[in-house]
Amino acid sequence: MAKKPTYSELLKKIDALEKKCARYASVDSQYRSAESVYRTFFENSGAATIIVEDNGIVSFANKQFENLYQAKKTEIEGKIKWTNFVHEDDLDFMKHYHILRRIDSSAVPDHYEFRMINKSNQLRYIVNYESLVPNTKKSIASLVDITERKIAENSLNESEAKYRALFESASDAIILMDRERMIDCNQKTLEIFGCTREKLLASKTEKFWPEFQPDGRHTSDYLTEYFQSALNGETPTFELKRLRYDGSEFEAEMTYTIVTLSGKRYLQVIIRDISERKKTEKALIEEEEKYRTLFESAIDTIIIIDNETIADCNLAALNMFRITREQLIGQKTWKFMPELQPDGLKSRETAKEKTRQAIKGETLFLEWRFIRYDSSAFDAELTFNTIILKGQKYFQAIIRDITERKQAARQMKILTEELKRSNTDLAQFAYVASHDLQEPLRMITSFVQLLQRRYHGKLDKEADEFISFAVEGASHMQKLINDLLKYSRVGTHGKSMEPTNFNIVVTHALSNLSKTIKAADAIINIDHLPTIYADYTQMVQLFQNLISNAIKYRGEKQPEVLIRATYSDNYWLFSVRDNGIGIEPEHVDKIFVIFQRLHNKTKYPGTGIGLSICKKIVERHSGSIWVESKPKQGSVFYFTIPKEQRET
Amino acid sequence: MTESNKNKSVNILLIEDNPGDVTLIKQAFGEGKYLDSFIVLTDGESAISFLRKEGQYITTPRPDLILLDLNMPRKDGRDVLAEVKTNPALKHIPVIILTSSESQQDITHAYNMQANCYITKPFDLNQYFKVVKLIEDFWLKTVKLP
Repeated sequence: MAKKPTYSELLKKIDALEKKCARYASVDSQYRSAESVYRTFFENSGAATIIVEDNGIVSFANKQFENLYQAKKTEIEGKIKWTNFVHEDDLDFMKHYHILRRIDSSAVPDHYEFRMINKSNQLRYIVNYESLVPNTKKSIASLVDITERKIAENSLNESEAKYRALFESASDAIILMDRERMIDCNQKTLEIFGCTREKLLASKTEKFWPEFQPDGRHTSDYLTEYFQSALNGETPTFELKRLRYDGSEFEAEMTYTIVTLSGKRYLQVIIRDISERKKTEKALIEEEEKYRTLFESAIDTIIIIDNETIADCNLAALNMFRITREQLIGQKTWKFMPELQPDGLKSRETAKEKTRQAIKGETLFLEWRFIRYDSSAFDAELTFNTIILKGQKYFQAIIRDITERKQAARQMKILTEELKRSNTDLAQFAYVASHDLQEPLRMITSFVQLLQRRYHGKLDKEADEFISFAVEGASHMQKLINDLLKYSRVGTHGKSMEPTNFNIVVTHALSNLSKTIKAADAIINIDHLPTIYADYTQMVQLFQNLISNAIKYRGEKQPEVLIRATYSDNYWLFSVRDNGIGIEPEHVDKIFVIFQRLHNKTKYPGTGIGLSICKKIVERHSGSIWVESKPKQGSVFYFTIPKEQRET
Repeated sequence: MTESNKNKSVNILLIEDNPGDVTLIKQAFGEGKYLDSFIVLTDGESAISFLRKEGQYITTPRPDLILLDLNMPRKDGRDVLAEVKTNPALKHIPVIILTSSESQQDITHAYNMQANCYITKPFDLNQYFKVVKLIEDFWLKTVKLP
């Protein structure tokens, strides 16, 4: 426990304390008055001023700072750090300054710019004057708002930069001229003229001009004229030939303008290389001329239609419609159509419908009836589509008169029908004739033979001979009629096409010919044959005829017959080869003609119908037949049968 | 004569519109030996009247054998055949079809109608005579007629 102080000791202590207090009060008062002076300065310095503690806290702020920062002192002093109002991009260097200043204040500039973000979130440009309060780590900062000046400055820089950027990036060449001298140009100028800035600016302008323009006029005449016009405040635009640095020519479109820069007047020249455009224009004109030539010289009528109005037409159109150009152009299209088309559709409505289809990009082909200026009608083939002429959409109608073609088609149809009918008639006629001829012929044959039977040797020798001629003639005629009947039956009595095994067909034919084959001691070789659609009976007849011919027209050698079939494309090729007497080349065409015989009847009997029947059978099967032959060596008869038979 | 049917007593009815064929048939039969046995009618209508003994034919005798052509004017051979083979009084009489038709349809029809045989007229005279001889030998000399 401490010893309790005595009263006197206490008094002494109180006295000492009082004295101390008085001293403090005096210092306090001195201090207070000094502070008030500084405070006055501080408040009225005219600049926003703050005191920043070592730890960054803003301990004092004046009225101006209140305004700048847009907050009450009570919200600032001791409440915020300086870092709270500095733009984040400026924080780094200012933090560095803050520390450095407190170590070596001479190492930090006494003023610098930074960007403030105030309490109202406004950006302010500030110049900061800052120094340490002597013997402390506090600094005092005066902030001058230079925002207005800064904005003005920036906008000036910006517009200048913008202008320069435009100048440099312009797609046209821009040259600034002071009288005859080029004083500035942009990047595009160098591209167009093909040289460096130095070379360009060092050259005389004459270097870039031909002396004469294509029309023979002096270039300088033109230039003087346009310069004068620019001086008068106009901005003349003109096209002239120019030269590049290397002397090559190009087409230029130019504009002259007088501009004033820093109070001085210059000539601004804008140059555009239009060589490409000129080329395109020329090509376009040529294209149009070409089209025009085609258009005019076309044999078909061409009519250009704008909506329903005839906008243009070619010469052929005038001939077709028997009209003059003046009478046709500007007329409505429907004036040249009958009210109804041959199929009963209304012309105008149908035409409108077709127009809608053509707009979608279709090209339409149709038959259409038109009326000429003299009211006569004609049928035409119409091609209808949209075309673009000079940027505008039109309809193009190409018209071809098909009256003759239609007539020809009609004629052809009539002829075909007549031919068909006459063919049928002929087949019918041949059949009926040969059939009906048989009866009277049988009478003739019979009675001539009866005469022979009764009176042979009873009259004179001549009578016997006469009768025998009559008998022979009648008998031959009977054979001819019989063959004719067979021939006509190929067409009129044919059976339907069924799948037919040709191995069976040939076997059947050989069995019919067995006697002949045996008698001639013929060798018959047969390859494997296909099964195809055919008339079985007729195929037997066909092979029978060919094989019997092969044996009949044999030579000295033992007859050999080879029958084969090969497949190619869509048909089967059959061949019947023999080693017989063959056929002279000049007779090859005759053998398929009805009743054509190459040999006399005594040596090779027959009527000459066999191969005609073969031909008719093959043709009924949509095939063809021919022969290849060498006299004394043999013949090969070929015939084709399509793989698929069309129903006949 | 050794024949089973005496020549005189045989009545042959020939129904044939072609006079040429009539002559040929008459000539062919026994090389002309049966000329008197023939009754010739040239169309189907009169043949039917004859067989029915109608009108002028009331007294005519029934034939022993009928040679019948198919294609004739008015009623043809088919009608005659139908009459003969459906009439109880006539159907026993043999009917020989002798025609120029080779049609399968005609042949089938004739047999269906009970024709006794069907012969196509041969084109060749010798053949013709041969056929007629066969008819003669068979129908007149071999078979017994009712």
